[in-house]
Amino acid sequence: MARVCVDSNYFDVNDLGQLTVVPGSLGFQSAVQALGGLTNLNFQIADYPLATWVFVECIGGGGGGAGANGSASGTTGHIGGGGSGGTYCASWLQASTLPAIVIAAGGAGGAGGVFDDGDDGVVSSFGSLVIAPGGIGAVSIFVGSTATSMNPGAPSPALGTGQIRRQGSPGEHAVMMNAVQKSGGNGGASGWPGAGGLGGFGSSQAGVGGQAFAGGGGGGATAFGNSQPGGSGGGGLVRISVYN
Amino acid sequence: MARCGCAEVDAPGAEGCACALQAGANVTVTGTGQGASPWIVSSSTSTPQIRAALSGVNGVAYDPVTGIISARLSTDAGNALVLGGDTGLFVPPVVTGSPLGMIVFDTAVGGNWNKADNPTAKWLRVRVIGGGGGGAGALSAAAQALMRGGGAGGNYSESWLEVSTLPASVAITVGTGGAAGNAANGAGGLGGFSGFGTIVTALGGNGAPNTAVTATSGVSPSGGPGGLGVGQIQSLGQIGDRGIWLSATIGLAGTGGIAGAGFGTGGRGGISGSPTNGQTASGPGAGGGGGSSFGAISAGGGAGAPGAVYIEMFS
Repeated sequence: MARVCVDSNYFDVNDLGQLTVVPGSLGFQSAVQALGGLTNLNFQIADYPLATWVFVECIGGGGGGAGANGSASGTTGHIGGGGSGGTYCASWLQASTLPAIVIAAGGAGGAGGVFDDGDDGVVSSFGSLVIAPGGIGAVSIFVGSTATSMNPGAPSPALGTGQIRRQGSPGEHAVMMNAVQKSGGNGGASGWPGAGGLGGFGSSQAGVGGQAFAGGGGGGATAFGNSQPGGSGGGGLVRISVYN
Repeated sequence: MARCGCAEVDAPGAEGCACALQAGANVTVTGTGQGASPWIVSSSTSTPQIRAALSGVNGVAYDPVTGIISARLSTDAGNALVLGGDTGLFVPPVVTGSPLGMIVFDTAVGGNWNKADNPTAKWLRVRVIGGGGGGAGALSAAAQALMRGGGAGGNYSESWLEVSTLPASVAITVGTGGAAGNAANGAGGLGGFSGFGTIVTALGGNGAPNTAVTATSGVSPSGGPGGLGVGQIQSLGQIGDRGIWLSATIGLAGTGGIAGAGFGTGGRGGISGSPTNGQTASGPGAGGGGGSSFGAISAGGGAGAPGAVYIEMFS
């Protein structure tokens, strides 16, 4: 009886003697993630000997919202702008072109300002191949006032590196009509997009954190006669999808 | 005594049968049938006869001239199966269901996608983003303000396409970003259409109008998205933010909308403090920011960002 030799990774000969493709042996295989601010991942392509392509997505950590400092007196208000979202970058990479080990590092979100500036979010990266900058922390401009005023949210982070690049949205501006009627700036959405956190509302309220592991920016705070923190930016993410 | 029904050997002291054996086709007979030289009958089959009895069926090739049996690889278009270095069947990294990378068109130059350049592609995932609308420019009167709205983001359309259903070549159009409104109260321009031929299309965002007038307080309209295009999944661009001012010195212009499905980032509008041009949008497909004018000092709008076409290919 004549026989053929087949690559058993992909083919099988069934009970009828027919050459068949092994189900699941081709196309998408698995996905691994490195969560922002947690342990980095050493991605080794040798762990996936049949891989042909990987799709790598990085989301930078979100920027923190500005805190509001109400220490000047009990009769003035203060408002903080929102932090910007982290940038999203993605690329298809051919498995044969990858270094043996690539460090996948998810960026942490920037801390919200306690009663001062929000911190910048941290970049998320897959080696030097895909790089997504973190969002920018909002600057706390301390001008305690009873008058109508506005404080700016943080600008967008840079575009980064990748075939697809989507900047994080800027943080929204904060608006104060008078010392007690105020709206802190909402955090900007990440380029993914992960939602930004709400800004403080009314007389005195902390900002809310941005969407975790999706890079949303933190919201800015409002304060009246006290201090309120801005929301922290959400942590970023690196996701590696492996295809045979 | 005769044996085998044959005549007895007529010789003194001889034994055996006087019958004669004759060799037929493919048979050889040696010996005399005597004790000292018994008959030996040998048979053989000719190679041409054996080869004529064999044939190859599904997946097997057979050459009756050489007698070689081998695996038969299909000559159908698109077959990627080959013989590997160890002579076994081998699936190279271009097999059914596997990705083949992505082609990006993200400048207004556009181009073509050609079947002949991608012979192993069987399926495409095509994503199209229209250009963003421009933000409007502003010029207020003295002791007044005028804060313009932002342009809308371009729309997003996506489809999975079977390559066998496509023409040999498909024209790629990348929509231009809408023009920035000029500083003399110019309206923002319309973002351009993007398309994978006419098979997957997305309209651009509208620019921000210039209809609001200078005053000590007011609201300016912003640009909205265009209508639906063609695609299995569609997502409209975000509306630009409106401009709003509370006094002759306090206000903020509108930020441009992001494109559908989260692409691009709108350009920011200016905020109170000083007249500021609207920011140019970041690609792909976001709207430009509105200009903010205080005290008769003009500010231009921001331009929308060009769209994009992403083509992911699978074998």
